[in-house]
Amino acid sequence: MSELAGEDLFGLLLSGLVTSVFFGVLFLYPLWRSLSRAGFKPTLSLMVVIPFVGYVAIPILVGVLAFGKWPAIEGPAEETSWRAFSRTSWLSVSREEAARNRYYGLDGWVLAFFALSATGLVSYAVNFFNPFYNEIFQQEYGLTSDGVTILTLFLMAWSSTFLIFLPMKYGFVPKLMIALAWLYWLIYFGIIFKFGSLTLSGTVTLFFSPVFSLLYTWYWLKSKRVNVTYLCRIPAP
Amino acid sequence: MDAESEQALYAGLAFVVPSAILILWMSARVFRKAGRSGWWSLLLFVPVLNIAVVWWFAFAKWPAVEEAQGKQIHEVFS
Repeated sequence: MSELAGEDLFGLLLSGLVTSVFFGVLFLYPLWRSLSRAGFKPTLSLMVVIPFVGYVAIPILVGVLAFGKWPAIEGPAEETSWRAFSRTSWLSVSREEAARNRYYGLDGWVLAFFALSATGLVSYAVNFFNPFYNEIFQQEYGLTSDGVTILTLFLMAWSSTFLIFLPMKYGFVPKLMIALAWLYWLIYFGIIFKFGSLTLSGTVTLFFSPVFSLLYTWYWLKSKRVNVTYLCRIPAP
Repeated sequence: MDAESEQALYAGLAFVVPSAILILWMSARVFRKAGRSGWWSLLLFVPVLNIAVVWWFAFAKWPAVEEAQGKQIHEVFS
């Protein structure tokens, strides 16, 4: 990073900008139209023209379409509005009654977490036996070879907990998920500080880690799917 | 192929294969929600044609949405 002079950084920013605009022109209008036809706010699609954010915007928006409830099919917009999501009054019901609710089951974002953990586990397992990946990770996070092995093992164990606990529809699962979300960064940076040093990638991760954990905690506390599926309580009318 | 480039190939595959599965699965869900066949998502792996598919999808008929909106209108009038 140190040899990256001002000119190179400017070139990098410029190429990022050009790529973003290119993708924006290609995908902005189809995404705008698809989102509005599905009943979402079409302005979400403007994410794709923000430099650098644009790279992750397309997967995020496809994720919204793939795992979100489409207001155009599932009903009126206020069901998915901000106000409905921040509602705090819940009605405790029996497991049988909760199972009849349309938010019950391993679907939506919970299914997305499940799928991400499954794909993550496969890639960590493959990388565990791959010396090339080990070298890249050593450079990226300033870790020793043992450090990378321990980090990969931890990430594999981590992904497995999701695969084991998400299909179990028990009341302790949301609390466990919130606790794990915060414990994750503690162990992650514990390993990085013990076996290496804080590099640029590490600093960026450290900066964003509380944001991810906060979003995640909010989801596991407030989501209708989580409350119906794991805690057997439906949104009060 | 020497050992190093072989390792690089596996590292690449470890990233590409899971993300390809994820793209296939997520886009198949979107197509099926709109009432279209999930097999359309296979075309997303064909260069140039994938951009055409995205544009086609935005303008094509969405049977599931049309049906749901037809039902809603019916409920209002009945």
